[in-house]
Amino acid sequence: MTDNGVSSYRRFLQGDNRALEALIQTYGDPLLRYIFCYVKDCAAAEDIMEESFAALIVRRKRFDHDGALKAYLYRIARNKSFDYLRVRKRCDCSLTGLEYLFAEESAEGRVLARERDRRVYELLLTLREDYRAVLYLTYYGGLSVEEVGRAMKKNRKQVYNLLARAKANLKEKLIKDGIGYENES
Amino acid sequence: MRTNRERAERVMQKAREEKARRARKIKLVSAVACPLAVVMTLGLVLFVPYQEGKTLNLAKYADSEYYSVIEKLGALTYGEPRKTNRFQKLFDRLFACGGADEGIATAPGTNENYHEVTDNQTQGVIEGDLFKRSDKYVYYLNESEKGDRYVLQAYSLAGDKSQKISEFTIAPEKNTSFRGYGEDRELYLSADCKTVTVVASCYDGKKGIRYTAVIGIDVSDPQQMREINRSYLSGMYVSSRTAGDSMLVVSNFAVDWNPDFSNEWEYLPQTGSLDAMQSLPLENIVCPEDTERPVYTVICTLDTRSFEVSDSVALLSFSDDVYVSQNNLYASRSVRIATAEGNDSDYRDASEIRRIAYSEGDLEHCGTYLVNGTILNRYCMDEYEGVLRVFTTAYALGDDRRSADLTCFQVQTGERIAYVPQFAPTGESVQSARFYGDTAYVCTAITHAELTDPVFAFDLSDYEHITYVDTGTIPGYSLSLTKFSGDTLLGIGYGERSNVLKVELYRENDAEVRSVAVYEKKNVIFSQKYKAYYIDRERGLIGLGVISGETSHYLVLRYDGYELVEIESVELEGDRYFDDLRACTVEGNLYLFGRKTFRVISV
Repeated sequence: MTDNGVSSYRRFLQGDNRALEALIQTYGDPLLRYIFCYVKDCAAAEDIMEESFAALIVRRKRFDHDGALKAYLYRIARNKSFDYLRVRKRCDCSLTGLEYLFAEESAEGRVLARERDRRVYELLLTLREDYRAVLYLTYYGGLSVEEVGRAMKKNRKQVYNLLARAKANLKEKLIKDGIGYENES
Repeated sequence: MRTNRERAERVMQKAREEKARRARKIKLVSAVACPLAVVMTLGLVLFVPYQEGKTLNLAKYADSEYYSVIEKLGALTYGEPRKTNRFQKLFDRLFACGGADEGIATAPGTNENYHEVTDNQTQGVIEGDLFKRSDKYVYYLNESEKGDRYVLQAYSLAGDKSQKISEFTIAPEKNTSFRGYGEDRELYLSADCKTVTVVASCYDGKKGIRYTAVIGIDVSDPQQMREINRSYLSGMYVSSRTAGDSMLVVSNFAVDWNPDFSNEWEYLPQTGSLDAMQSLPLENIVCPEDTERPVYTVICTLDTRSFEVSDSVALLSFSDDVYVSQNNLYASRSVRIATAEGNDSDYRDASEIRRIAYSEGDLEHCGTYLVNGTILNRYCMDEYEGVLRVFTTAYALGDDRRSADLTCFQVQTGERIAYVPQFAPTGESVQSARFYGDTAYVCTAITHAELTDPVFAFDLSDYEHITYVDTGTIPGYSLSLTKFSGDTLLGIGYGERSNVLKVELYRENDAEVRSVAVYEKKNVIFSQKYKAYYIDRERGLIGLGVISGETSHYLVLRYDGYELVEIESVELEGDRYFDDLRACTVEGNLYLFGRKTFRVISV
């Protein structure tokens, strides 16, 4: 990830409304998929994503680097996801709209075109909530351990421990599913 | 899936909604928080307790000439410092202040004659009233609608052409208020009919104490009345009299808790104008050893021409009423006396009467009399040919049965020369009394259970052999007794029930007192103030105000020698202040005055 997110945000704060589109382009899809990890409903995830950006620009916090902005954004998204789940009650619903998350090609984000990656993502979504979140933020969101900690309100050690357990859990599911598990490079 | 542009537009829309929602929330919180903050601030200011009162340290006043008084008052008024708060202090002082003096230009007077309209207890001793009259005018002391000032009204006496010709508003001085004291107000008209003197209580909001105001008004031209003088004495107005050029004024001055003895006005009775009050000299203050209450009875004589205080006496005791004879003033207070056996737990009610001689403006404290029981009012005391006679409600010694006593003292020596104990039926108390020379009348009754009374007539011509006769038990009881026409005794009071007015005439002989005429009116309430009754002995007329439900009337009764007949029932439109009604008859016309009433009725 580049620092374009922070730059776009700063331009927006200075009055350039078009910079918001660039900001959404940078963070929108990853954020959407992160939210989907929680709510498992594409339409709801879309709304929550938009609400997260809205909350960001209303509060007008200042960030000096990209990681801080992302961590803040993901924390907002997480809280809103929990609010949604609290109201709607968690349900083990089918992964509604999952296919749409991968249907579009973002301008700079990667497109998970291969079936294997899609299946990994599906399995990831079956993990426990905090396992999902830490794996997604680390591998899909590209956040550092500190930034994941800020997003999830945990310290470094907690994030490391959670990550280790999450990976172990996913590995188990991957093996069962017949997908080979590769060590992270 | 939306495009990024669509998302951006939706994000902006949601951002605007979020901002609006925040603004509404801030407004709501402010709307709640601001009054809450005000209430909390007020609560902190008003209700935070603070300690009031000081520890008692009188040593610093040892050099004061009033130190003996300070010592006694300190013991009576000292209270441990207590917690209070500003709300409590504010609530205790709800009286409004304000008002400015008014005056109008003078005018030459006319020669007129004074006519007494008040049924005075003692011949030659004039009592104050709500109205007085001369040949041509009646002066009536009214109260303003709000009750914050008085209005002196002048009416012409011209039969059916009579009218109110002027009125003069008497306003309180700065920081003082008349509000709430209207019941006490009285006026006098000078013998030359050129000066009206108003006496009334007022409250000084700045100092937090009550005064009796004496206000002189020039009425030499009734159309142009003006105030000429105003002076004060400490304490709430009790009573007054005029005799010749002298006016006796009596007030009760209560000393507050924990007074500041460096301020004389807080603990010493004073007289003068509000901005130049003078404390009574120490030699004029009487402090009995057994005083239990920090209340002075203050008696002053004033010159009715100059309104200057001629003399004064203050008794550190308490008095509800005073009786004034031609030469003496008697002030009474209730006391409790241990029984002869000295048992601290056995007490009996008694009354201490102090005699103040007044002569040509001078006052002299002369002596004390102790009687068994309690004294109802001034009509229960009488001085005649050097003997003080007193009716009391008393309990028999060593007994809890209540009855009535008659006690007689030599005025000069204080010796008890006659005592008639427990002459009334057991359980009855004195309800009314009247003395006429060698005869005394008294009505006793039980008032809480059954309304019945006997009326007694005492022969006091020989104090060594006092005799009495009575009516026996008859329904109802009289609140006042007075001689009436046809050698009868008039009693006004209750019938069988408390909502029945009974006006009854009695005649006595050697064997009994018997009822000769009765008038009753049911389902009414009536004035119990003696001065509100119109009693015309010459014409045999009796008048008083009554209220029945929503309507109020002034009843006029006539005694024709045989029976009491109602000859008039004047409807008083909207005037329910029957205690303030006054009437007099001039040349065949009955003039009726009240708060909202002025009527002329041919009788």
